[in-house]
Amino acid sequence: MRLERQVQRWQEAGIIDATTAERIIAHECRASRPVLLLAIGGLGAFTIGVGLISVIAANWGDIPRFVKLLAMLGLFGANAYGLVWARSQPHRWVTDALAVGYFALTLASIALVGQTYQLRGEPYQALLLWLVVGSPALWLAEGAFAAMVFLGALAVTGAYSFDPLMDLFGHDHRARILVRAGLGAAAVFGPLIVASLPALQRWRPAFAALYERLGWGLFVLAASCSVHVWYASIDTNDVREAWVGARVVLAFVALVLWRIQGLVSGPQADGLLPARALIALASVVTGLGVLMPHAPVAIVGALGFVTVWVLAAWCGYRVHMMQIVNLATAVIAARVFVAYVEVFGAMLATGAGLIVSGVLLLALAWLWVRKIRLQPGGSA
Amino acid sequence: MKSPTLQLWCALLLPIVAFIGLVGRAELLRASGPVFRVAIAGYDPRDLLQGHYLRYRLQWPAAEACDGATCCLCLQVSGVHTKIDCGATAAACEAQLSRQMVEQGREFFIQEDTGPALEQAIRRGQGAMALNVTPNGQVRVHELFIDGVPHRRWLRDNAPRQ
Repeated sequence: MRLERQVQRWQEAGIIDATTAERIIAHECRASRPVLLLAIGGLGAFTIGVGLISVIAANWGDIPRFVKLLAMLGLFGANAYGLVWARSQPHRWVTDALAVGYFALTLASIALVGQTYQLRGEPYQALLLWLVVGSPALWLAEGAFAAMVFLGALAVTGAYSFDPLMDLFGHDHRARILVRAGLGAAAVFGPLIVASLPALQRWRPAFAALYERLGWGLFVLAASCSVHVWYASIDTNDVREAWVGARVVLAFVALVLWRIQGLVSGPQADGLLPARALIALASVVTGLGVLMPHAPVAIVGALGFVTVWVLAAWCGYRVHMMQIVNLATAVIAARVFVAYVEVFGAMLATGAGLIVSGVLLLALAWLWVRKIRLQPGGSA
Repeated sequence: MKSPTLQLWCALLLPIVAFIGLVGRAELLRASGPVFRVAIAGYDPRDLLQGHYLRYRLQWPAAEACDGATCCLCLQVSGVHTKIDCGATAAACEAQLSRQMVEQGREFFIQEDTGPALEQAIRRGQGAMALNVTPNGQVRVHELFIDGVPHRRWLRDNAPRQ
């Protein structure tokens, strides 16, 4: 409404004519991102889909099978017609909701066939078929909710497919390690690599933005956990196994270091160096921790963790995302305090720990005040 | 209304084609051989993900014509099934099931409020499964019979739903 009033004022002032006013309003309606509406619409469609699956699970046995199958075809037809109709409507959320609904309906149809014909199969087979034939419908949507639904479906399918995939390799220990390493690396680096694809950024910018945010979050979380490998003792057997999977993980690290420029181009180009430093350093610290035998060296783990978050803060600082800097500052402060608890023991160690922790926290506060509060939007 | 693009057609038709393909394949396999009725034993677990189903196994006939892993179930439309040695040529068999196929745990989806009644009936030995055997030796289930009638009719006539 605010836009319409403003456009009306411009029209009354003679700045634009009636045709231009209409075109501006139509363009803004189409291009605007009503996040709440998209979320509620998508959620509504998803809920209807889950409801349909539940009705099918209840197995309405009194209905002849051909009536049930034809009813499913009717639902497909109605939803498909709705999607074709919605493309010419100005409200994008309708298309998004119907696309998510179509995706859910695809799973419901596979479940219906399985139940109607008493087919005995593994759930992963149905889920894989669902992903293959249903995902193109999600591509019709433009909002981030559809991207999230796809990721959820992928995660569920992956979880159900993991054991059958492992069974496929039988007792081949090396192959099993390679698959585990590949899947783990794909889970951590996959969203970032996918978000860096130019086609995704051009055709579905909301998908790319969601996968990028999620990818960074996953990477920092994984890096924060993995550097703690230095808290454990690694023997030669562990190292031998780690070397088997290392080449797969290394390939992913190299790929993401190369593709990262697709994520931090343009106005975010300043973030390229810290982003690459973050990925490389976390990989090196974790890699050394699992690829060479060692006794527990807690200090390396703790420093590795702090370094990961310092580099995350540097990334946020360079791309002017002060929320990340604030979060990183808080996490580092908490970790410094935890580090003090870790060395708690004799009076001397406790005293030294308190002094070092206090100095570090004061340094952190000074850095935050000097460097961050002076930035635009950096007030906390 | 804008005319649909190739991308839209693909996205909309792919699930429908897959659905029709699944139904067609299931119908073909269902019609790929004579239908037999085989006695079953089982119970009724409930699964939040898959809905309600009876878990059952096919039953061997009581006669002990053979024993061990090489024993097969010889099926006849008349309902008089026998145990035979898998290697033996039995002209009377209209289909054979290997020991593994007979003893495999199976599931039959049922309506959600009919579990207890059907479970009790099957425990009493009243259940039989109508099925056919596909050319590659797989079992395709048609219907659950209780006391010789389709289970839905038996439920309507005999068992109060719970």
